[in-house]
Amino acid sequence: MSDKRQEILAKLNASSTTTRARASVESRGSYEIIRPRITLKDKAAIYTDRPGMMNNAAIERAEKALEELSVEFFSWMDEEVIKLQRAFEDFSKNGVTNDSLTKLFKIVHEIRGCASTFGFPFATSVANGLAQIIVHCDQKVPPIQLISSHVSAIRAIVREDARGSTDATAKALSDQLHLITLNYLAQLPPISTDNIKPLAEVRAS
Amino acid sequence: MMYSVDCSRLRFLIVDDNIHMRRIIRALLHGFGVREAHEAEDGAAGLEAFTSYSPDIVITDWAMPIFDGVELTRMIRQADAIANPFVPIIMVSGYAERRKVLEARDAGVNEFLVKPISAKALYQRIVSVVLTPRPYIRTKTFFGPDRRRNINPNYNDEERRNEGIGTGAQIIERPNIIDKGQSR
Repeated sequence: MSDKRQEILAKLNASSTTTRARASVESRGSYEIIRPRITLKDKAAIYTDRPGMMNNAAIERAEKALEELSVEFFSWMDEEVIKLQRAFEDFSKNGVTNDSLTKLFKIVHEIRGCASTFGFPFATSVANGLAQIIVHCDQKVPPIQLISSHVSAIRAIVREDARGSTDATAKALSDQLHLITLNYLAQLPPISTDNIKPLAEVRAS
Repeated sequence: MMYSVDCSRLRFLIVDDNIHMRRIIRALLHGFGVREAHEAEDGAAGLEAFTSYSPDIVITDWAMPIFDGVELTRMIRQADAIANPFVPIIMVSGYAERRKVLEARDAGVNEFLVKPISAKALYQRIVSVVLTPRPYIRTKTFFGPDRRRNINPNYNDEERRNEGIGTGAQIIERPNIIDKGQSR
């Protein structure tokens, strides 16, 4: 455990308080059901004559705020791609180590998480396939060429500013890599298939 | 009688190592009417901010340096060791795999939101933790929101919660992200 972690945990334990004073505790023998005395419903729930609990005006305001922010998305995505390229160069030039593979996975995971929000769903799709490859490959001999193809595809999608889900070239590239990835994963020893996210699901999200 | 949520009365903590995702979440929260949102760039800073800032709701990423989002959740859920172990935790993650969602739930996460994030999906999670809070369950190995969302009157099998009362949730040292991903 790092010094930083130990320091924080020590501070945490020093600030000990008791749960029971702030909650009703119902003992059921082998377990307890605990209900906080003060809830967020007390603090933030308001009566309304609107049907349903969703405040559409609030959602629309948030969507508008996101739209205003979207002018930044291309440069943000570009930053992520630069990080990806650096991680891949480190991984391919300095040899495969657990550290270099972990760093590569970290940025690929970031991209699969943020690319769709930034307007690049095909980059999410390719990054998702690449994440599956990194997780499931034999990490002593990872498929460098296949990984390289995915990295290049993500770079190309962003370089060509292929936003949205209608760009035919980005779609073809993404579909092709998806098939190759499925074939690659299928030839590995059996794995839990719940990790493999269907392409349609990636697109839909 | 119908309820809605006045987000301006809530204080948020956003924990994410990606500055752009923090900005996006902050923008969405401001759109909902939130006035107070604090940011932290990793799990350790998030935990410190949690103890000093006392947020009403924590929104956290999973993959972060020092402490990841699941470790952060486990620490917050140490029932007798922190300011408010009942704070609702919404995890926003690129992980979509079922076992990852279950792992987050078993650490004590209230709501799990798979990226890409949308205004509607985030708002739904906030409404859920405010208006339909679940009770907390404490067993020997778990402390967190009731993992059952619905009561099944016909359920007649063993229950996880009969694990016995003990010392509450434990911090578990976990392998790195690549090792964790290996399932074969």
